[in-house]
Amino acid sequence: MKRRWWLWALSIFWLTGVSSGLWVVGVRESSWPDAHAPQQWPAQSALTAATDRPTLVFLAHPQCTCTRASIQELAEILARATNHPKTYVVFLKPSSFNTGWERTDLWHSAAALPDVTVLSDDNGVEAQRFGVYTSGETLLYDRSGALIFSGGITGSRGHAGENAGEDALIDLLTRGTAATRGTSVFGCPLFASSES
Amino acid sequence: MTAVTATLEPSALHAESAYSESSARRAADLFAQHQLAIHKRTDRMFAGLMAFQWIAGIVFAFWVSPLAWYGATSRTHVHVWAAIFLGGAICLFPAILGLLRPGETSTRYTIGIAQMLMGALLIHLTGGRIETHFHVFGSLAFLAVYRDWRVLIPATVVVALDHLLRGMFWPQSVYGVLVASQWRWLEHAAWVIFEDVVLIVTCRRSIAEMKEHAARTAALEQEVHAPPAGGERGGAVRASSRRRTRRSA
Repeated sequence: MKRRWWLWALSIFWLTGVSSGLWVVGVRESSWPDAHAPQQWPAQSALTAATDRPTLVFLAHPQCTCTRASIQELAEILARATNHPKTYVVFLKPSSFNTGWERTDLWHSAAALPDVTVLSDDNGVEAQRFGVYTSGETLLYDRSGALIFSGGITGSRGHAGENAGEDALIDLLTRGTAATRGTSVFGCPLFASSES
Repeated sequence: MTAVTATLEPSALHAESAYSESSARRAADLFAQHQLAIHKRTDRMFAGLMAFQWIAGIVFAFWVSPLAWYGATSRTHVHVWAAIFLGGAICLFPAILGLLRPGETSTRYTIGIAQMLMGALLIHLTGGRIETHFHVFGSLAFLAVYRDWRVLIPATVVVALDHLLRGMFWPQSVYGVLVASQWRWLEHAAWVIFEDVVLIVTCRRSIAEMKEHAARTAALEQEVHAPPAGGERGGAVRASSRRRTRRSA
């Protein structure tokens, strides 16, 4: 009888522990900062905004595994949008790494997308000009250079699939309006806390 | 068709009754032994499966998301730690029970719950990929190997609760989408119950067949070990057998 009591106690302790663990992992992976991009196209940027159509800027960390899902979603958005934007995919390249470090499978996936310009961002200068600190953050500026969307295009970290950011961008590029203009970004930080 | 009958005296009837009771007891023993052997064997199988799932989760996390990058620096991804420590916590306890206490009812229930919790972790590690939900359905089929339909109940409750709670708070974790219908968990639970119904019917039929098999084995053993014809009990038994026998004319 005593043995059974201990077994019950141990079972309850185990179940509580693992349930709490799953809960903590869920909380940790669902808490991400919102985007804070400039409301107008930054004049000092080396990128050129289009004046005949919207311009989409996707900033990413080339080693971030979570960004793989964002690239998939970007491909989905570009395939489904009727008004194809001028698109830049900008990969961070810290100066401490040799040239070529940024040319990962993510780079090649982005380069394979139609009508997309893929660039290397030395030391994250462009990312800072656009106020972007998280890999996968996507900005959409209209033809006048006004920000009309900023945020992530995945539902959570590394999770591909239907999500609010993807829906908003497709709506903006198709109908010119969307239910939301900003979403949380799920991805690796582009800068360590001491760098940003 | 001609029925061959024999008239039994009171002493023979008493012997037949004792014989039937003895045969029933033996059948019950045989059934219990067979059932315990299945439970023990399945507990050990799950102990191995738990270890395999734990390792598979770690390998998967290392393969898909080994590092989380912070600018120019990288750290081990939280998925790797979750696969190692949370996966270990989920798998280790039931695996130990399966090895040290095989055949116990509590071991089966713990394994059933752990199997579904491991499914929840794998679904999370794969970003709520709908394909990983197949783990739940595969697990239910594995649990049916116990031929104890009651094991499916706590497992189903865990799946339903997991989908309900994560669907409410982090739908992306379980469905891979940021916004999900509040009733989507019911759809998933309904599919699980659909499989449960088939498995429960199968388990019950299997148990009935095991009981029939045990009864036939017990009767056969009695026949084989009965005293030779002419003895009081043997004569009664054979008379009884003949009474039950029908043969074509």
